[in-house]
Amino acid sequence: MDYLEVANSTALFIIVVIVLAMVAAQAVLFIRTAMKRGYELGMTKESMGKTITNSAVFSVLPSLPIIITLLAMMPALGKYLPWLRLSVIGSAMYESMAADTALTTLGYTGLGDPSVTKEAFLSVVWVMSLGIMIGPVLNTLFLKKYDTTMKGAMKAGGFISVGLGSLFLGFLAVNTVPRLLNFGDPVGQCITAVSGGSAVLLNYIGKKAKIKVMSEFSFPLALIIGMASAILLTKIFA
Amino acid sequence: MNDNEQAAIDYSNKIHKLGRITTLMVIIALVSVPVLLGIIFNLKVDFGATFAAFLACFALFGPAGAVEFFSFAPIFGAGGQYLAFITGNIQNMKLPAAISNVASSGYENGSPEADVISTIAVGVSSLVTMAILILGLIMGSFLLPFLQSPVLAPAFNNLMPAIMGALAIPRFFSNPRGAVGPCLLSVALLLTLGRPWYMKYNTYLIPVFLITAIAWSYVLYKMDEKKKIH
Repeated sequence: MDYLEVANSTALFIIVVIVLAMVAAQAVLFIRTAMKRGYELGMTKESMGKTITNSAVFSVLPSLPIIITLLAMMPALGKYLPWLRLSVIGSAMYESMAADTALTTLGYTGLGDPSVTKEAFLSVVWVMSLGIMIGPVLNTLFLKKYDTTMKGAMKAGGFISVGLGSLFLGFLAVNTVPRLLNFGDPVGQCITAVSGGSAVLLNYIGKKAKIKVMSEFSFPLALIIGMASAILLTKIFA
Repeated sequence: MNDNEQAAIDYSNKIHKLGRITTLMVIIALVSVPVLLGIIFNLKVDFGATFAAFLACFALFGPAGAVEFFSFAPIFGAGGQYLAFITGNIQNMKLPAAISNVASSGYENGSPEADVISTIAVGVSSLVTMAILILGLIMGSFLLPFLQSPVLAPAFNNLMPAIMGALAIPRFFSNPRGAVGPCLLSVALLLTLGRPWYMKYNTYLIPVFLITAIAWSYVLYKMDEKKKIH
């Protein structure tokens, strides 16, 4: 597996660190620019600080399983490529599938095939990098025009501004209703209901009893309760 | 044009300029990874085979990426969209972070304040994931037994039901009229298309639901107008 010389090389490590530093710098720049705009709009440091804490707390749990994919991909793809790929653009599912698809198309059995050459590894890097680039490319080319059109529609008022404000309900329905109605997976159904019910209750009790932490962090707290209930429910339904 | 409108235009221009420049820089940086590896290690790829592999991958994920671009921009706002599409994990992390924080902020969806909240939420989520992965790289072998523990496995295996339940159900509760249209559509599609098809092509169904949400809000708007007249 001589391609691992390339995959675990110091050169790749340095390149990956530079790329990830750029991505982190982009996030920091956007946060700072948004906060400056927030102050202009009369938003308080407290309200924006709450968003920072809430988002940070929520993001920890869904990020942890990505470590499993990172460690699973490292024996086949080296230490640094999975680290880069899982930190940017795609998801754990995309990166595993992209690497495997690339290798099988190139004539190998898939991830873990010991006969992969350095050139084939480089091909995999190309495919993983370009295969999911469409989102950022479309953002660069068309997002400004699309955003300006939508802002114009919102300004026009009427049902369009209400409609655009309700779009997220469509996204929530497409992903949540099937889970609530999945009678083939009663554990999943119950978890969806438990975490949803917890969020409603935490918000209600927090507001009534004036316990700010409960209402303001109802989402990440409900997520933890939902995940904890998964452990109990799996034992009950097993 | 008043000062507020001018400030809004200035901010929009700034975010799009920042978004386009930084996104282009990151695209170039990502493409430079294989380019530099090829130069440093003097490797030449089989262009035909690599292109075929790229097409196979693009066929699977490209169309979904385009659908996500159109579907999520109105929900994220410009700042959140630029960031989310660079760091990925959109439906399981960035969208929930944006939606939950805008909802709990009390600001109206689509308002300038909601845009600010969404951008901050997505940016912070991106940084946290990057930090967790650095932790994974350094302490992976120490963390793995915990992460793969059979006791905790059901919790990690059921992340999406827990996220969607905690995110969606409070929103449905607080706006049942608005939610009922898209929810009924979901039921109808599950019954007509069947669960396997629905879940496989879930991303392609999203625009259908977004259009339904807008159409449904039109119906409710007209009903409310009639009530006002009477």
